[in-house]
Amino acid sequence: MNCNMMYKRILIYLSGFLFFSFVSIAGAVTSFAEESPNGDILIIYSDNAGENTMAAVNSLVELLTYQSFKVNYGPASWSMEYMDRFSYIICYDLDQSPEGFTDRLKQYENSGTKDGRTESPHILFTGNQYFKYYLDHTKRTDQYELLNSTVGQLQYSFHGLDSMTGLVRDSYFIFLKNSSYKSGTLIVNEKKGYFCAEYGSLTHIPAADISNQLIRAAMIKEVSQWKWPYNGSPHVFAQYILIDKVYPYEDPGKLLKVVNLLIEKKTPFVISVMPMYVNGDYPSMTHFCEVLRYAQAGGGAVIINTPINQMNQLDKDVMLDYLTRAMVLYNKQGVYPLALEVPLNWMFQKDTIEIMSHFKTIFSSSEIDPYLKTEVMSNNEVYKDGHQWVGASIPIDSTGVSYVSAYSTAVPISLQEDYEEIERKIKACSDSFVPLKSLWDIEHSYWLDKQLMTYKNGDLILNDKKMDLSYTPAVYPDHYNYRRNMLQRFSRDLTSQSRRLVIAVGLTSVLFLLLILWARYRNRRNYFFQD
Amino acid sequence: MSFIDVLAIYSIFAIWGLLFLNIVLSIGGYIYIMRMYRTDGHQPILKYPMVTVMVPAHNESIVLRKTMEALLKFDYPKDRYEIIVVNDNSTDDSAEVLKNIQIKNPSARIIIINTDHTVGGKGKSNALNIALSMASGSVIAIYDADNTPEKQALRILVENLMSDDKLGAVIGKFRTRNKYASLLTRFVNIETLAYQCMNQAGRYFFFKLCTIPGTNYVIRRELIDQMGGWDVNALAEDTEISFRLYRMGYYIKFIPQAVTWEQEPQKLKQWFKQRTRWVKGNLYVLKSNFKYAFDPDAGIMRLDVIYYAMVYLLMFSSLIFSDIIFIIGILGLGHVTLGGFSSLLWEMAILLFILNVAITLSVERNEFNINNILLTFVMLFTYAKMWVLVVANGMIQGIRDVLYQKEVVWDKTERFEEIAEKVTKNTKQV
Repeated sequence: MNCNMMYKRILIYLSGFLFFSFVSIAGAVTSFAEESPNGDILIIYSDNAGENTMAAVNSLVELLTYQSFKVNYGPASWSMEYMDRFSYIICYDLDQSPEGFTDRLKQYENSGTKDGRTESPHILFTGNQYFKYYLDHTKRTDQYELLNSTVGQLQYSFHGLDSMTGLVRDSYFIFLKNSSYKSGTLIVNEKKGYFCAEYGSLTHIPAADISNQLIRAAMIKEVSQWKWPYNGSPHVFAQYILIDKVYPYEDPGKLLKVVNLLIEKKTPFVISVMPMYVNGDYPSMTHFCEVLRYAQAGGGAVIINTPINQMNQLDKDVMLDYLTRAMVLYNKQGVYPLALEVPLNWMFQKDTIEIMSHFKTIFSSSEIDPYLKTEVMSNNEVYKDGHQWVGASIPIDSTGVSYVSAYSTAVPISLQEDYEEIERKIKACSDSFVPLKSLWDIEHSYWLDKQLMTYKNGDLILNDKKMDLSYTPAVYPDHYNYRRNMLQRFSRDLTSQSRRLVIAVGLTSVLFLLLILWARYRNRRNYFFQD
Repeated sequence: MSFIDVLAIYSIFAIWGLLFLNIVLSIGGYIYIMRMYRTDGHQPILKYPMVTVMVPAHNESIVLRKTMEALLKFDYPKDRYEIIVVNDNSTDDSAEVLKNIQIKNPSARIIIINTDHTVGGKGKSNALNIALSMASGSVIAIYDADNTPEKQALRILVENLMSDDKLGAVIGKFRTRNKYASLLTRFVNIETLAYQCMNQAGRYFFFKLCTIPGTNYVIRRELIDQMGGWDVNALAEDTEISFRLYRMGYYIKFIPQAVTWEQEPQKLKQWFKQRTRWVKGNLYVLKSNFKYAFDPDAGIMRLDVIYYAMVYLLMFSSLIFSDIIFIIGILGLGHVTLGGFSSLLWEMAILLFILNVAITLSVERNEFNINNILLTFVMLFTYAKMWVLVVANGMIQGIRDVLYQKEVVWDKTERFEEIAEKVTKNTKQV
């Protein structure tokens, strides 16, 4: 009996142990699978990529993120292992490759649809050196033409309009002799090549320098086309006129004039306001918010900029706290920002990604947060939050109007510019082939410490209350008590007092030292010498 | 302006205001003490009055022998003073020790009053009232049981008291007998010297204001009788009496040459208990006398009430706030956004604090040295912080006592056998 019991117990313990072991192993495998790269596009760059290449890769990732692609990226030696998980691979300006990489890439090229991959492989090469090496290595030397010149002239036409021209530089250029798709013209040594060509599963863009705005715009258009799995062109995304970074104490008259112009022309627009944390009841703020309310009622939407970061080590809680205060302050004045505008590099840092996760719609400006230390990532982590992105337009001409419809873009207008210049930009946007859109036409939401806002079907609900978006003029008190610059006054007083204090402390210290010396002398005379 | 900014502004103005007040007082105290040291402290008088030296003692047998020896060595005319020791409900061998001293000194006028728990054991004020009922002197001198006054102390105090009819009391200086016993007693030594120079001598120099320290002072008998004795509800009976004297139109004088040496708490627990009692006592006195701050008839005493209020309300709150700001800053929960606010303000305050204490030490023999300066610096971050805790504790206890209507209990400071005394005893045994 006892023996039986003992065996039973051992069996139970053993079963339990095996069960837990299985659960643990399964968990570990699942978590590994989750961590393993698996997305829409894999970007491969050289193992020894320098800062410029990394910046270009980040820029490419940013542009692809706006198109809601899940992107993984890494050096060639790291990427080899994961190629089969992707249907789309971009070899970004590779200048050298680790051993076995080219064979692996060829193997990938030849593979059809595999487990976990629904489409056949697509490889996009940017630049010329590695593409030439790849073709040579795979015995396709006869399929390209080499042009020995370091400069080429790019001519590219967006949506059939006048073509834009620019220079392209590289050590040499190669062009595929045969192609099933060609776009743009790259003239090298007076010979006409292409900007983008496709042959089989290979696509080639000879220009890789995306710091050049024309190449950048053209490349993102071609990448969008390359990634489009159907016939025809991909969706056309709209552009937004963005009156950018408006400070509450700027000239409200000028803002009103621009707003009136846009309302008269029935042109949708967005005003990006800078956050304010105090003195929301000042007449100037009331006046400013009155213009914003008027804009809101006239089809303009308001978004808010992130607080200016001056923290060496960004504290997301502090940032969110400031953001909440600013939101509360604007909301009290009947202004309801729909989205958040962030610096460009905020999508490459975990804390800022978390801050952004509070908002559904994100406008990305072309500015960089200089205090933010970006992290080395292997994927666009921000993708998981499913934001509605509006990226900054790529300024190819002086109007800054968007030529790319691959993703939603914002054309920034500064109130510091001349009114005529602003008018010219607005006209250019209106005439653009990229349609203008109102932010009120799409859904938005955000949640902060004290606020939950949703905008859907024309109803703006803030903390369970439907907000009135109609315009009501503000009432101004005849004599407003400013509590004038209390903080500045205190600060100024403290600063000037500090200066006086230093002098007073210095004099007192000297006096004290003299008194100490005198007392020491007296003590010595009275006690020491007499003793 | 954020809440932290408001707290910072309040703390800056309060701390700097009090700092400058203390600097002014220190300079006054320095001048007064230096001026006094040009003399020997004596005042010629024609006739020495009869003095009753009163010593309240509760379980003080460890220190009583030494105290009585010092009291018997006074250079005051032997037939003009008597010693009354109130052995207040002691459970140790104090009665036996006192009896032996009495037997060994038959020529001295020593009166020993042994009380039981029915009459005695109700605190220092009660013990003093008992002694007063037996006193025959027209001048009353008070010494704590742990004191060893210098032999000229009583004569100097009485001579000065008799030299001015408007003087209600004359106080001497107390020094730390066991300053080398522990780090705590070293701190206490610096604190007492600074306090006496800054608060006693300084206030006397500018306003003829002093506070009776509880020991080493003489007071006119008639005034005590007019007051109806000591207030048994006051834990800080000395402060209470000082206020009452000022209200009666008299003033109190500080004489630095009349020195007594006393034993200070060597352990933190005892120190904390003693200081909490003082805080509670002072808060009681402040509460009872705060009305006089706005009474023009209260005269110069109003300044003292305001000074106490500043120390216990302004200084305490500003130190608490500055600590809160510091902690909030460290935790990254908030920052002061005032433009002119910088750590320089705190650094200058620290420099002034140290120099301020340094000048009060410089007037004393063998007290101005590098060790004490370094200790002053350390004190700022340790001892001064403990003061905040003591005041907080005293306030909480005071409020609790009022809410629960607790009876005032004298929590006596525990005494320690000093090493020097042990050596003497051993030598005698050998």
